Amino acid sequence: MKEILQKYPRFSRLLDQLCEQSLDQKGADEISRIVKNDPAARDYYIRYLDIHSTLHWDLAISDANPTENKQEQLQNNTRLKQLVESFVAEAALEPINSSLTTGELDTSEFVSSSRPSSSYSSRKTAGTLVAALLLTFMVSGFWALSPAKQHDPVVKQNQPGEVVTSDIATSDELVSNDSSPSPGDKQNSERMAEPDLPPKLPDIKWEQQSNPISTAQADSKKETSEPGSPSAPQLIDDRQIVEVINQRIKQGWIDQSITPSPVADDHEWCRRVYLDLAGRIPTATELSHFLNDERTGRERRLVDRLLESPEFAMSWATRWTNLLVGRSPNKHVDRLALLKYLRHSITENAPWSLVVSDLISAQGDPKKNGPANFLVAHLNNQAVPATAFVARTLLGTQIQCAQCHRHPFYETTQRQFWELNSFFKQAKVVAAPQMTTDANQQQTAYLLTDQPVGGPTYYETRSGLMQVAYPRFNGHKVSDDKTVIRRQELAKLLVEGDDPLIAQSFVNRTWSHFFGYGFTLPIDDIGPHNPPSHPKLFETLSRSFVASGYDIKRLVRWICLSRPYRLSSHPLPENRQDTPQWGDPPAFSHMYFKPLSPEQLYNSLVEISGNYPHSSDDWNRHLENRESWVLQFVESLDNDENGESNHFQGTITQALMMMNGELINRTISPDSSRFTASLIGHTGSDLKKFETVCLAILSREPKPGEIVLFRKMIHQLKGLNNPVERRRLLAGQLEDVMWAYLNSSEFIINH
Amino acid sequence: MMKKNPPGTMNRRHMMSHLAAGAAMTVPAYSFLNHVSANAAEIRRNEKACILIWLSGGPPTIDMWDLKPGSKNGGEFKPISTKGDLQISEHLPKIAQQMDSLSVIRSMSTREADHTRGRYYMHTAYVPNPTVIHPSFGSVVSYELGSKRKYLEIPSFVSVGGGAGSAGFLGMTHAPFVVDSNGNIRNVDRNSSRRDRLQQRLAMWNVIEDGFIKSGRGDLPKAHKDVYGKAVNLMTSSQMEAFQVSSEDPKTQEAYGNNNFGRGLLMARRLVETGVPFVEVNLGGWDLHNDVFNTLRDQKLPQLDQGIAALTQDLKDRGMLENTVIVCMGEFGRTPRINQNTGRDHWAASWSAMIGGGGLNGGIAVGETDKDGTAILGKSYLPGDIWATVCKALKIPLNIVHTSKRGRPMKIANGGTPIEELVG
Repeated sequence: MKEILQKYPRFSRLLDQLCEQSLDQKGADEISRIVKNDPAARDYYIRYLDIHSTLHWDLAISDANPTENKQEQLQNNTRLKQLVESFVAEAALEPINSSLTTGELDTSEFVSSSRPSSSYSSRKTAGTLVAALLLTFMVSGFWALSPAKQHDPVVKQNQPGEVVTSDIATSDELVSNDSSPSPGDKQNSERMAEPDLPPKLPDIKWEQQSNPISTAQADSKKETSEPGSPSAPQLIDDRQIVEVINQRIKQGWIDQSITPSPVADDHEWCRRVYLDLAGRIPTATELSHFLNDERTGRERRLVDRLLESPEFAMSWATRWTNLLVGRSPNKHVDRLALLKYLRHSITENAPWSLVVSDLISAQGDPKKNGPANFLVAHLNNQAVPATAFVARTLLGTQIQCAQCHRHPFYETTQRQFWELNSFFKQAKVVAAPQMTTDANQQQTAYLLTDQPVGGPTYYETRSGLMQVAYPRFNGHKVSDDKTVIRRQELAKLLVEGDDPLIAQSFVNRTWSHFFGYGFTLPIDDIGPHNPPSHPKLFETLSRSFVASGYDIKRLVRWICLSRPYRLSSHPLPENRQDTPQWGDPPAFSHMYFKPLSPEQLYNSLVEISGNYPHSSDDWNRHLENRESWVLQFVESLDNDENGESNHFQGTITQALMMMNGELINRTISPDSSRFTASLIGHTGSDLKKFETVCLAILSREPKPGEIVLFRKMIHQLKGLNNPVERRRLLAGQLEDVMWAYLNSSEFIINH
Repeated sequence: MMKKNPPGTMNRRHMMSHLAAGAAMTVPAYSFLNHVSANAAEIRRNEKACILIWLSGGPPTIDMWDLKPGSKNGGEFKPISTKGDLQISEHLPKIAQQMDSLSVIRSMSTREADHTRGRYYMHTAYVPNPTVIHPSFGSVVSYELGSKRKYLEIPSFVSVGGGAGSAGFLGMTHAPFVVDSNGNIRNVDRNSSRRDRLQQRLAMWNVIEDGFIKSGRGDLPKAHKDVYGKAVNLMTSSQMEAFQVSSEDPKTQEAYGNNNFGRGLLMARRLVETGVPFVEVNLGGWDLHNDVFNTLRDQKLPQLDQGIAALTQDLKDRGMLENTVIVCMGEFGRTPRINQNTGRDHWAASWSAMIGGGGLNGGIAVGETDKDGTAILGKSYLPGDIWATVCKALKIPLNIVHTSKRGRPMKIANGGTPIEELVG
């Protein structure tokens, strides 16, 4: 490979230009000459473009197992080479290749349009050649991709997948809190049991359909005495959407011939839903409360109860605070103010669109106006970080790369980046002296303001030309007059439409919170270049989310009550190949492992020790302690884009903390842990106490091997007559057992 | 009465054997059991190692290693002569005196000018790809050399200051061990009186872990157990002394500089001396979109100058330089053009990296840029070429191919070629 570059020193640069669409005629000719005459260069050329389409390749070969994989890749490469070679031959013979016109690629897309109009034939030959190669590549890539990705609407019902559905609680069971299930539901479940009917999806036309909220409100006149409270009648829609999730995911299993794992046992699911919603593991009491609830619809009741709990609001707000401003301290950013704002929003069930608007357009003192912290954190360096953060975190797109690098399959341009950036041109943090009660002391507040400046933003292209960009988003241009407050305009544009990016991005992130993986990999890179694993489901969910009025809790409820979310984390031999951690698109055939976040771990440990906060004062102290504890695992990357990384999950540092850390000691020692203290004081049998420990930490009963070991441990206590001494020794044994459970991988993983 | 070991009777072997009791344990991770707690850290000056000095944010190499006097892009600094056959910035006078041992590659051309992507690319030699996580090169060296050093009880890839990337498909046991430059490793309980307690706890823990591993839930639980093996090993090791920079001769400490960077480099030397094959020392604050010259002159360059010069001299004095490669670079360079804020922006098309030691040729400039620093004249280099050069110096064979979790072959250093002028 290196020889090629030595032989043709300009080759790499030319290929760059090709991918960045800045290749001129001379360059195209040169590539054409090199590629035509030298098979090694041709090989290099193919590999080069391969980098730019690796994603497509990976999707295309995703269901092959690793050993077949290589072979298939080889075969693909050989086949590709043949195809390319035939194209090259054709292109050389025939300047205008008719097959190209059938493709969607115009040669001008890949060759600079600023070329001179003379030297027609050679230009076309080169252009044709280049496009032919690229087209071949893309076509074969997509061709290989299509069987795995297409969801054939007419699929026979008697497929793997179907067998298992009978093991899985249907959504009707999950959502059966409704006192009078409509006849349609009955039919639904009956139809699902019938093997010869195709799995027809509920016919939801979101574009045409009136807003479910308004439907619900109309229904609410009949069904509920509380006008304006849409909760009960919306069940119908919720049920439909849950059913869409179930069916679409199942369709994926059928398409890929994957058998899903059985449902998780109640212990596993209960722990999972507490971690995902409340941000901590359940207490032994909470667990048994769920297990002993024998009425139908207990999953739904638990999800609903958790969704309304302050802990859900807190853990949701914590997650989004971390996403929006990072974990590292920043002297102008009041993380807690942002967290409180987010917590308040979710408690009040504010629509996500409103939260986004607030984050984009907030003004004033970030200490008092929580959402202002988001932009205050990122306005440095001409708001380049702000632009990138808005795009990545709120819109799920990676346009920051467009600043210096152009992806051939990705339509985002450098201009678009700066057009979005132009919306932040007026935003400025200004220092303002503040009145204080003490006249001798003056404080300075840093206020987020919009300055009355107009005009475009200037930026430099990769080739060094200065360009202008006007505030424009998604085809909508906003006046660049200084009287127009651009951030407010952007806030309006972002929430426009029935499936805007803010909805897609939020749905994708929310889904990945519950499943460990989103519909796209990575979750913040949505776009035509990166096809989602379940395109129709993704679209349905994000459209439904918009139609629901950006109702965050409803979205969460749909996901939590779905069948895939109820599955066990034990993979079966039949779905072991479903491994998104290796880069495959997820099939959600079993629950993937989600390592606990530092915050989830901290909350859980404090909860185990029995010192979980109850009053709001407690909460403030808890949060402060947690923030400083978490920081030991976080390091700022010290660049202008507020980058940070953490070394928490799975590291030696984490292992040392879990083995020897002060927090662990506080969690298990009877001196500081109310749990351990009360356990020792309790009158139950030693074994019962051991069981309680296991339930409190791992949310399950101890396994036989563990009981045997514990019996051995307490054997030493036999014959001890001094109750004080016995209690002291037992306390030590229980502490050791707690330590062992806390250090297990089972504990630090949400499964 | 309860049988209890008297304090101190439990030795390292005993405890490690408990840890290793599980049937599912991998042998390699614990085969250093046969090395039972030496009294003092042994000095290993002849082992190969690499110290990566990471300039986080993207250093303006046009003001450091490849000055352009007379060009509109030249900026405020002048070049000075060095002990080598090249000139560098006037604000790196101490390094200039070491330049016979160090070289500069002036023809890096790397395409990735975004922080995250550039950091990934320069650390791994691969461009980011959503479907596979490539290992940082420190993890590669840990995998290739660290695994073979059975005496090594501390992690074989140490990152002082963090940001060193991840071990990717090579697994968590090769992930960077992130420490502060103060050398205080948190939560290392070295109190030997509590070891018998740890023994009992680990016995119970073993049963729980094995149960979970046997439940067939993929790699993660096993990786967890391996990492715990490493952590326990570290807790009981006298090699932890290597992190204690403060126990070094005060004169040496002073020579490196009384700042985090200086302490980090000194720690790197101590770690290499103990047998750690890869240490990365992070020095941030190079993202100089504004006020580049004042910041360089007053803050960044003096620190860098003192630290690198002291490290080079120290390694030389101890006879370690021949075996230790020093690489100094960031995620990219900075624009030759000076922007309206007297800063320089991101630039990956033509920039420089510094490399020396490990038997590589010193005192030369490899490659060149044009008079304005905006393009490379002649051959250019990729991160894979730097890492291939390091491989050559560390005697890691270049035909090694790792395999991603999905079975995709991954050439070491992405198939790069050692830079001829440096290895020839």
